[in-house]
Amino acid sequence: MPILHSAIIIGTGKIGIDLYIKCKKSKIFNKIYIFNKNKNSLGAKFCIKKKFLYSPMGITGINDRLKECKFIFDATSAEANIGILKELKNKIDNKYFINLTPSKNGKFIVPYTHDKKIPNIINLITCGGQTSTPVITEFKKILGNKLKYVELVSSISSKSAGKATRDNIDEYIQTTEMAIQKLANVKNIKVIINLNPSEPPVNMMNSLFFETKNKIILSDLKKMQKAINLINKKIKSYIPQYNAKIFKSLETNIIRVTIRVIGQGDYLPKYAGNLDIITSSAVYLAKIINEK
Amino acid sequence: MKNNKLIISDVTLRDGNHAVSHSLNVEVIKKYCLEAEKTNIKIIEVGHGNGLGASSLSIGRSVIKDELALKTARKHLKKTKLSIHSIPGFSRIDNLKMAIDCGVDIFRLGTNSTEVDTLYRQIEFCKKNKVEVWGVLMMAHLVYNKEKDYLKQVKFLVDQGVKTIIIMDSAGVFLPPDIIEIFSNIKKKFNVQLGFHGHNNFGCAIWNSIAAYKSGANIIDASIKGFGAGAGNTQIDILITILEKLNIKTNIDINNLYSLAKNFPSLLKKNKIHYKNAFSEPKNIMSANFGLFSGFASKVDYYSKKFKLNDIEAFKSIGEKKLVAGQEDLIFNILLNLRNKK
Repeated sequence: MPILHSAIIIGTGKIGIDLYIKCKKSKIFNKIYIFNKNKNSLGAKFCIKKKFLYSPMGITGINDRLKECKFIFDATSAEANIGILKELKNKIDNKYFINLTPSKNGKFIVPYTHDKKIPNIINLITCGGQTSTPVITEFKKILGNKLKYVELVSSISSKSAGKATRDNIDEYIQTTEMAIQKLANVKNIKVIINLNPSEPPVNMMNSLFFETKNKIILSDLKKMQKAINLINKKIKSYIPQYNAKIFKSLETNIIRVTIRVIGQGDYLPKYAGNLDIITSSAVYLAKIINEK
Repeated sequence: MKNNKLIISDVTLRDGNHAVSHSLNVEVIKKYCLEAEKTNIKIIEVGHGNGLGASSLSIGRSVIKDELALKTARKHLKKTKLSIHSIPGFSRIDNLKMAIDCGVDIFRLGTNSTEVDTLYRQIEFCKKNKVEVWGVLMMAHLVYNKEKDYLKQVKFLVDQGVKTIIIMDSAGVFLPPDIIEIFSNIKKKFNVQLGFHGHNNFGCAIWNSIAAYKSGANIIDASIKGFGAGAGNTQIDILITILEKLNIKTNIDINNLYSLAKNFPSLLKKNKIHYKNAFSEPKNIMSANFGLFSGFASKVDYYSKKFKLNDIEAFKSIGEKKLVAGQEDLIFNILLNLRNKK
């Protein structure tokens, strides 16, 4: 039985609270503390009502608990993240700081593909990046230099797109493209994002296009199908309703993959698979760190 | 009736790209710009159907890069202003920088009307670079409701300092009374220049445009012979003729306009681009009835043929999934499902 470590969650927004519930459910933590700066916020009130280990003391409160915690999850905003990391940078050498905000701080990590040493400041990229990188990485391994171009189109419900996403669509695209290029070793990638306002809200849906130089051969196709099965199996262990499917397109040199992500409905609604994959990945990552 | 001067903005080389799967090439852009300038049209919009940066496998690839298209147009337009359409999510700030370098005059930043706040960064960028920025409310029917949500979206843009707003009937679903209501209500509340972009699915594009003008709009988007996505746009040659009959001045040379219209199909044919007259087929009527983006038509046609589906049924199944502009990638999956069910 591994030792149970304690964790700090910063931010009592929807992501922070969802993460708290997931951490609790995972049973891999000793204590879970959650901080913000405003005890009158909706999230804070929820934390108090649910008797979470909550404090509105912000960074002072965090500093007091830092010693006993191994994990710090930042679920604030991109702007706040910069300040928080500045404050904590020198105090987290033997700890893991997992950045769930859209800021660029930390090393891009997708739990599925990560096998090297895990750095202590971690960036969970974006919903599109977190969802698609496993598939792109595996397909790149199969197709090698035959792979000419990859396109990712993500559709998310308008309701699940917070202010940070809306203000920073450009950064979202840049960060996602950069992370995929780095992690999957693919040069030519285009990322597109759509917001769908329908009611009831739509689930997160992704389309991937893989374009190769020549016709895709059957043996590669079989390998890709196998890879998809494996990815589904592995990712379902931390987000059960992750579902990737491969389709032959009408063009012989293009393969399509769709990935539907439905959340676990802990605090975030189920349709917000785009947010759930981030909180789910964060907890899963802590789990694999713990097991090492 | 007091009204401001009417400006016609020609969207043939942008919206029209939807009708020919984004295959308008350098030669077409060049010839069209040269001829269109002779008509005294004030503004010409150029680019991929979904605007800057939208050339992709999911939407369709342009035969030429955005940059080449814009440079070609710029080179052949002397007094006519050059405009672009830009949707954040497809286009990025980098694309806008490139467009500034190409000498684009008007930056039309658009998004589905429910998501206007996603324009914030691009508006800021345009303002900082001191280029003319317009806001475009695409799929405006999504915010046309009892609560008058369109007023909120307009307010957001006005608060950002946007001085010109285009109401885009991307689905071709508005009727003249809707237009009168929308434009009069906006005019009553905001001091802003307004424009209208119509689609002809219900055969109302012309009269919607005139209703918009009469209710306070002074920019009308139109295209030659109605060449555009789905059932096509407001037909510029008819529009100008009717405006003249109504004594509404546009300064457009009608004879040159007619010859532009007459020669347009052969210009495309010469360039081996398949030309079809804009017309509202039953499937386009259906598409509007479901409030679907007109730009879906070419994709739906393509897959309906390949999967041997009834195109009206195909539109219906996409309508039920409530796709919005930009979600072209999912048309394949929905129609594949429909085929597999059979």
